[in-house]
Amino acid sequence: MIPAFLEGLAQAGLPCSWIVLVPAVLVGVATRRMGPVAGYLGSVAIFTWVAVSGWLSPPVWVAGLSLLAGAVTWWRWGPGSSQTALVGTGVAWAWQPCVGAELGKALNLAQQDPLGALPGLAAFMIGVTLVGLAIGAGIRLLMERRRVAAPRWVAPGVVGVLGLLMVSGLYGQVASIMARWSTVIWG
Amino acid sequence: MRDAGYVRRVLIGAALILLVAACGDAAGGSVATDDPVVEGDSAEVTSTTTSIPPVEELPDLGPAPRLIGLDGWLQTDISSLDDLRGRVVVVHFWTFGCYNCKNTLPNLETLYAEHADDDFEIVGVHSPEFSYEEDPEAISAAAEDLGVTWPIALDTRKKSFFAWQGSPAYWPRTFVLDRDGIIRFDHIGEGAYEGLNRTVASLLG
Repeated sequence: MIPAFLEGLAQAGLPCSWIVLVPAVLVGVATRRMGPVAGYLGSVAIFTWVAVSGWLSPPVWVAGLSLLAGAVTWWRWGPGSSQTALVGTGVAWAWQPCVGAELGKALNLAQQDPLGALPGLAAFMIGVTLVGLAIGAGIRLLMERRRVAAPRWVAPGVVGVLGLLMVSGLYGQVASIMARWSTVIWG
Repeated sequence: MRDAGYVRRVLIGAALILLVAACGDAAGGSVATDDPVVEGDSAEVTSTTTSIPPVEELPDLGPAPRLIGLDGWLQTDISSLDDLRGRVVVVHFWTFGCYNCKNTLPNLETLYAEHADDDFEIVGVHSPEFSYEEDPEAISAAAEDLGVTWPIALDTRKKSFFAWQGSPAYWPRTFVLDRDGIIRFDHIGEGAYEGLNRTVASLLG
């Protein structure tokens, strides 16, 4: 459990985790309320588990539709828990993991005992997601101190663009460019 | 102050979720097994000399699928897994930009060197996650940097990646095939090096 959580924290910086991390940062920037945070965190953990257990693993364009639905409702009604849960569901379905030792234990276990894999997988995903939420909260704090406010469409706009990229099939190319930058920056 | 409260609530919430999950774990969520393939997930590169299981104790996970939709091979003259029938083969799905894949390579290097004179081969199926990993020249350069000297199958369109794993599919993933092309070991992610090494040693007799 704790090793999986720590591995999640450590793996948050890898390109494979960006699709989880970026929306988490946006949620952290957009709201300090617990409901939306729990909606994102819970849906990422649960729907990742549903996918790796082999019960429901839709193609990436379906993940994109979920992100789009989350983005539109977020833009219209603000970042509520249902909206962030929709975003988290899309993220969970789009995630293509690079697997370390602890996540590997959970994924191998999921092949035989899906329920038994839930704690390790949830701990890993919580680790990755918390990093994004913390970065987002930090950005929001800075913005508040400097009395800067981003337009309310920015966060759902970014989520919507991610969704559109997935639906259109262009997501892979954009993710590749992001990953390339990451390797240039981090080595 | 409100932000400090927010961070505190997030951390408490995460801790509660972890606690609940830990309770589930303690209540019997984890699977203890005597399966020699699943056990032994130490991150250390280990010797194959300890407790090699008899072949009949290794799981039979069915015949390996073919490698399909390849764009070619690097560092070899073979053109399919059929060319390796009669040998014990490790099939390793990886991509050179993947941090976790790189972490599995030292053990494979050791294993490759250890069984250089045996009927043993490693096939690295390179299934790129990102487009910059698709260039064969970049793959060759990375292979040289990373010490990958075994045959590399170019699975640029990830046809084999999904044919072998279904969806979702993972990097890295390691299979061991016996001399008849039956899968006798399957592991997702880093780790299980001891199980991998013991399986190879057992199959090589």
